[in-house]
Amino acid sequence: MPTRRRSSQPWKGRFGVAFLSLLAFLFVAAAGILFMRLLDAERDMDSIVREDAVWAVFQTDRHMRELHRHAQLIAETGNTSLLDGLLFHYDILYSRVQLLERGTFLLDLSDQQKLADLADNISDFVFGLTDQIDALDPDMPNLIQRVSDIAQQLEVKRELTNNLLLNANSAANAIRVNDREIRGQIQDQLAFLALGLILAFVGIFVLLMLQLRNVAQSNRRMSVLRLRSEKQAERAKAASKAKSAFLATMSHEIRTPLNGIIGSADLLRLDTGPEAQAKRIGTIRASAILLRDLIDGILDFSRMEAGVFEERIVKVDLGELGAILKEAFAAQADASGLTLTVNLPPERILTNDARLSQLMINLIGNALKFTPKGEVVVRGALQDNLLRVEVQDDGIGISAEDQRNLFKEFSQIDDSLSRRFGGSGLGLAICKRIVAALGGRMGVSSEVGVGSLFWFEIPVQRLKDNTPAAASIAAPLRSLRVLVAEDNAVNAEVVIGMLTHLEHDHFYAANGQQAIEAVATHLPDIVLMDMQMPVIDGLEATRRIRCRGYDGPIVGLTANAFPEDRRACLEAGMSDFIPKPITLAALERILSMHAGALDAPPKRTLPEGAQTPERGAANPQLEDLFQTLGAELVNSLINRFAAELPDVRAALCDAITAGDTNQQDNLLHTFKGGALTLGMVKSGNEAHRLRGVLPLKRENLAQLYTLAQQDIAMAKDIMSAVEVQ
Amino acid sequence: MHILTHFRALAAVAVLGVVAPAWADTPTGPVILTVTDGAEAQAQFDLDMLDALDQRVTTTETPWYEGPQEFSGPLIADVMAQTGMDGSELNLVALNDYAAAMPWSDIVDFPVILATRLNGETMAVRDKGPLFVIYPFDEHPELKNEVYFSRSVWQVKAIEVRP
Repeated sequence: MPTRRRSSQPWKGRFGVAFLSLLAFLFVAAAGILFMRLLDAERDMDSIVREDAVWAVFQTDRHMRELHRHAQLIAETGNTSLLDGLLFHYDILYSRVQLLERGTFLLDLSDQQKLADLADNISDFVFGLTDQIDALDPDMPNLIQRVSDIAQQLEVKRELTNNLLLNANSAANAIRVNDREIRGQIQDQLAFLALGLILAFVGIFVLLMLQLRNVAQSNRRMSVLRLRSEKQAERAKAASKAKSAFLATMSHEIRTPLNGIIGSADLLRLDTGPEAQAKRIGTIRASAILLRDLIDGILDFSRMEAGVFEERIVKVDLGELGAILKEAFAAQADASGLTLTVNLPPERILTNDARLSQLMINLIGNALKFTPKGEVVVRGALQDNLLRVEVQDDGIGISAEDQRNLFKEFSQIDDSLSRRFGGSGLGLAICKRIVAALGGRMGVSSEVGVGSLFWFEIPVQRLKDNTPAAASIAAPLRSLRVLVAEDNAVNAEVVIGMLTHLEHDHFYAANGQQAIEAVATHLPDIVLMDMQMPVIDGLEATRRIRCRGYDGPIVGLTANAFPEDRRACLEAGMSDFIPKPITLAALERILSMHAGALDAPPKRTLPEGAQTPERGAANPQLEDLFQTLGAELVNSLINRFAAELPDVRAALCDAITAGDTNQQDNLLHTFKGGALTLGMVKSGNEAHRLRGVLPLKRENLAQLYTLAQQDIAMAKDIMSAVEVQ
Repeated sequence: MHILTHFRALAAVAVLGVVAPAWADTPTGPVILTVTDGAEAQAQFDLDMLDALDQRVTTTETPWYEGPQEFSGPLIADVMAQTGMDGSELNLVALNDYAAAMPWSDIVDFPVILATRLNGETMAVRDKGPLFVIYPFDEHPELKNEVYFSRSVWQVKAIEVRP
């Protein structure tokens, strides 16, 4: 376990250092004691003032021989003139022997009893000879005889000095050897101590280094952690700041159109006359559109944030796209007095058309928005399989500092700008994500007061042939053959009404099984598939249809826009999905996106406002229906819904009695689909809510019934109001 | 070097032979010290002549006697000054022909005496007399070692000055 090891190591290290320090101290103390002993020995030696004993003994022996030789010479030759030499040599010998007597002189030999005895013997003899020597006189009659006596004594005693010399020499040798041995021992001990000391110090050094390294490592680790947490705190702070700023911006953005709506509604109450009212309603609509765009941006962003990105590759004609863009922005550019030039190469490519359009719309919209006067130029270039698009403006420009935050979420350049120009601040962040998802990159170069140039590069597939490309935006549609698979009669009728309005042909299937058969029989251009249907549900039906080789678009119709539903749709083989309730605009967009544009001319003429149908009115859904299907059909649908209500209630009542939650759920689902399609939001939402709290209670049922009746009354009111208009 | 030595020797001859001798007088008693320079020049001293020089007393412990002893006699440096001889080394020769070489610097650096007396008494040959080279061992304990002991020649009879 690394943590345990790490925590126990310093302790071990400290113990090791302490132990080795103690050892080193002991070694030093021992060495000190040894040195003291050595010094003591030296002092002892020095304090004894002595001469070389062997030399002294040798001299004694030599003079003994000299004396003996002289005495012998005199005894043999009888030459008395040699007597002086004899006396001289005796004096010298005497002085020598005196030295042998001295304890200190012989100290290093005297511990050997034999040597001491010999020395005593010799000195006794030599000193004892004094009287005989002093008595010698050249005139003595028996001088020769006496000298001869002395010579004989010397002959005998000569052995003593010779012995003493030999013994002293060997004793001195022994002492020298002993001395050397002791010194050697002390040297060995000192060497051992020195070695021990060195090892101890090396050990201490190594342990200290290890400890230092540990300390340094943990310091480093600490500082890394600190840095990391600082960074995290900073990031969190920045994120929270950005969110706060976003909230503030959004609140402001939402408040402005809301004020417009409220104000207009107030005025609407006071105003008389259809023209004034129409004007107010127009304002309300415009405000609501603003709000919806805002919220669409947020939803789009959060969808992308959740990692949902449709992989969709279709043919796109860049030249056509350029023309459409120019036309789409012409009004806005004219209104601001700006010149808009769009110059895209006349090439066909394969790419995600919707996202490419979104990118360009965003960038051109921004450029127009932030350019007070001058021109906006869009340039495109296709090199190999890389599409580069530049949008250049003569706008206010962006400082280098602000460029860094430009692509971050929720950031506009500053508050004052956001006041002036409005918007959620998500546009560029969305662009950046789109470009990243398409595998490209994006950037900006800008100078304050001069203008900005936004560019992006995305990998595309260049097409050489003349295969017709998909029109990207609001391309005119040929008449399509559409299969509507929907079990709810009201919903089915609405969708069919819308299709008729858009001048498409349709087939109808009331459940999944019928849908499968209808696809086989009619081979439709596109299938609109409800998710929840009896017999076989939409997902299973899609799977089976795909199994049989149908490769046209299948678009799911679902009340729930949750990512899981969407994923389920795509996994089952669907191409896309439309959230319910279905609006004309959504239906039109889906059809144009998935069916592809053919060369058929547009055959339809939309009622005014239907070009961009919006949900801005009091009941947008109902108004939408009214505009699409006409009052008569809508009224009949409402009446049918009202007529079926008691049956639905009775069936639900039975299901509650039977405790059949499945049946309850099915009935609520059907009810909800019908209600929402007819813009009956209260009861529709209530039904949806109740599906989450099954089993039903009778009070719930009563409540739902009341809401439905209110909704029906409301719908009838609205219809009568719009009919009057 | 050779020429110089030669010259010095000639100078010494001149001093000794022609001019009145540099030292007080010629020995009247038994000669106890002969100083030679290895050439012809030589000087001889009797006890009186040595006593006539400044006396120094060195009381010290030696390896040759029990306990501290009092030695007295002239400084060897003074004796050399008397002879007017100069060299780099002194060869001290004993009665028994024992000899030891002493660097000239010793007599410059230390008050080395040629002791004539031990505890106030002249020394017989039996008492290592008549002359005893004594270093100031007590004043300079660093001298108490075999090298200086060996230079402390006793029964000195002659000094040879070496160039």
